[in-house]
Amino acid sequence: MSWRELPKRAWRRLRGMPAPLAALLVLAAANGIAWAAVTPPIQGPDELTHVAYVQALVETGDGPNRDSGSGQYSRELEILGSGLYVLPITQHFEGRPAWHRVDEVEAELKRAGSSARNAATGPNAAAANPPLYYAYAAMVWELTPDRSLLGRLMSVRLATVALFVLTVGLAWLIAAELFSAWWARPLVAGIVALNPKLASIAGNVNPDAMLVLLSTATLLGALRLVQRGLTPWRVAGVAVPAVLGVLTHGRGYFLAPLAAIAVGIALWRARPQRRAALILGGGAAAALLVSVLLGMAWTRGHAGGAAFGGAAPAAGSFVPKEFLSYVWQFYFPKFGFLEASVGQGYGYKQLFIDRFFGGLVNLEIDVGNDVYEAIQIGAWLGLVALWTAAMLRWRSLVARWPAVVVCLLMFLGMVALLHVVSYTSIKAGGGLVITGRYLLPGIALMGAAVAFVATSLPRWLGVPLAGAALALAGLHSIVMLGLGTERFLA
Amino acid sequence: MRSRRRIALTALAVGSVLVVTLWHGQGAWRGARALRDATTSSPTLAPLFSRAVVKLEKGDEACVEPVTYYADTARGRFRMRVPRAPAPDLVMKATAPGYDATATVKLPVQVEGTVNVEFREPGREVTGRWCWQNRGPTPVQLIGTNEGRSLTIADLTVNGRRRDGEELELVLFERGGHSLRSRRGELIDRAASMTGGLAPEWVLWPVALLLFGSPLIVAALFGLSVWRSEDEAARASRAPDEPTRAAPR
Repeated sequence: MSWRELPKRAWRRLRGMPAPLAALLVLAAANGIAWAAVTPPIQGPDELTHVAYVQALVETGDGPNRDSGSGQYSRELEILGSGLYVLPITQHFEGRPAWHRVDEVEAELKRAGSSARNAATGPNAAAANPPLYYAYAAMVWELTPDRSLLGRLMSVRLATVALFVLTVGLAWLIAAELFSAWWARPLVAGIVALNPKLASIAGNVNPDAMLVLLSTATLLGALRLVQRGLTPWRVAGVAVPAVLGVLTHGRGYFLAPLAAIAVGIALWRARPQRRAALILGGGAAAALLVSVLLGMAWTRGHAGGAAFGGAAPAAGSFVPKEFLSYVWQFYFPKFGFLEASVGQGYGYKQLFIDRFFGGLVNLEIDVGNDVYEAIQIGAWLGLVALWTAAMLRWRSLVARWPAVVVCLLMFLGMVALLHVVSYTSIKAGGGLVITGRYLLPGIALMGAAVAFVATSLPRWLGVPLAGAALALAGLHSIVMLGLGTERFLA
Repeated sequence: MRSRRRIALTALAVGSVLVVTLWHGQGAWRGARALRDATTSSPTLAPLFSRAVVKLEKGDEACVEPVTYYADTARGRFRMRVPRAPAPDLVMKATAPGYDATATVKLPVQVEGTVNVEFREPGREVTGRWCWQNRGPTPVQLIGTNEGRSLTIADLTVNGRRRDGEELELVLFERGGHSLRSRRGELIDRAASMTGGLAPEWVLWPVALLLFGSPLIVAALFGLSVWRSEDEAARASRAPDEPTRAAPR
């Protein structure tokens, strides 16, 4: 296939897109746009620091520093934040943005002129993050036809929504890779498209949306590589998103070993000639290694002392026994012989239930405890069903072990990195650095787990179960958006 | 036979989405119709960690400015403490160019809490000031915040003298309760106002309709997928857990 044929091929594919996928992509876009409009500017999780990073990149060509610099954010952002009340109202449930001051603030920004766009080079907590997402956002910031600050902010938000829409498309392809039942595709992609946590993050300026896209792309690439066999394109298909993921966020470091293992499995199964193996395997390994080194160098250059590519503010001592005790107590009750966990009472329920299904936009948008308890019970039942289905279909899973290994490694790698980062951060006095949105890179896996259970059942049972899961996901999405509307607009 | 099964499974797919949505969606529907406070603006905020307390003796007056009154702003809520009986009378004055509203409220004796006071709405958007005046006989403590991160652009004056770094909590509402559903136009307008013109109302209306109609869309697309699934299963009777395209080596 020549390069000239690519646009034609892409157009053919676009035209041949199944209607359910097109509908889901439209729904995902609507979901993301709705969150971008409902959440006041710079009100998303750490959004001010991310926007300040983008602005520093635009104004100076370099990222900000974590511990020093000319200021946290520009005068322009200060005028916007205080003038529209979007900075003071954080965590103030009675507070609302000052919609009536938009014209006044825009006039003030105009009066302040370009000098208010002063490069704020730090201190900025986001400075430890590698620059890929910020470079993408900076490009949008510069290219948007709307030159007002609100326009630029919304442009970057919309560009981030586009990443979310692509993620939904990739989730569809992952389902196609894993399941022969066609209805598993809208199930997996629907669970991603209707997830309010992901949609709300995508509606903000935040590198997490890009990390989720690249993690999902890496998973898809890895599955294709280990299932369909070794080709240079497929090796690139897993290595490139992994490299980009590492350069997007420190929490993306787990993608490098995942991609390396996927390439290793493919090489082991294909057993190509030594030269081809060296070129493909060595090339992928070198690219992954270089990306990790580049990520670390960036973090060191802009946030000396930060650990894990900026995923933790600092790394303290690592005591294996204490770490294992912490991980155990994160999921299970404490044994008498164990010392109290360093985890400050934060466990799996807070991470996987409360903070994954709730706690949107600075932990301000939550449903009632009864809903979280119902979700917890549902999650337990789902885990039991997953285990039972896996046991009943073990022969089929063994036959497809490479795909199973990739999926398991994806989940375990992501969670293990989060635990290591969180533990070392606590030890360094930096506090917990683990919350629900950090699980979003594995969201396609969550959809795949639901689909695995549903497709393992007889169709007359699996289909309505899948329908119920989609309905609940959709309702959760609507309810959270309603709560967001009440919080910020009503 | 296969065709009947396909129809039954598709109906099951569509039905499951709709039944669960109808069953569990009642709460969401009730929530959208429930009457609740309709905030018009929040000129000053409550304390999160650190309070500012302004003691007003008989005759004292505290004011915050600027305060924006929307056309339908008709209720104010503030935080106060009345330590001892008899509780004082407090006069509230909402003033702006061409607008002047006064209301008197007999405060309850309470440790700390919020008090609502209703007044005449201005009928158009105006920006001015809000004042509390203690008519006695006992003092009242008005409560706000002195946290830098919670301070808005409003200024506080007590008996004409400015108090830097302090604000008294004040939130303004429309009269009575309103459902989110009844305010949908206003909410969309507010959402659009801070998007720099990139998500105007004519974009947000279809977005909202799409999202609130999403259960129907999801039911349709899932039903269509099950229909197609059965179609494909008929064409190639594959094992249910095999990948669609190339099989593993």
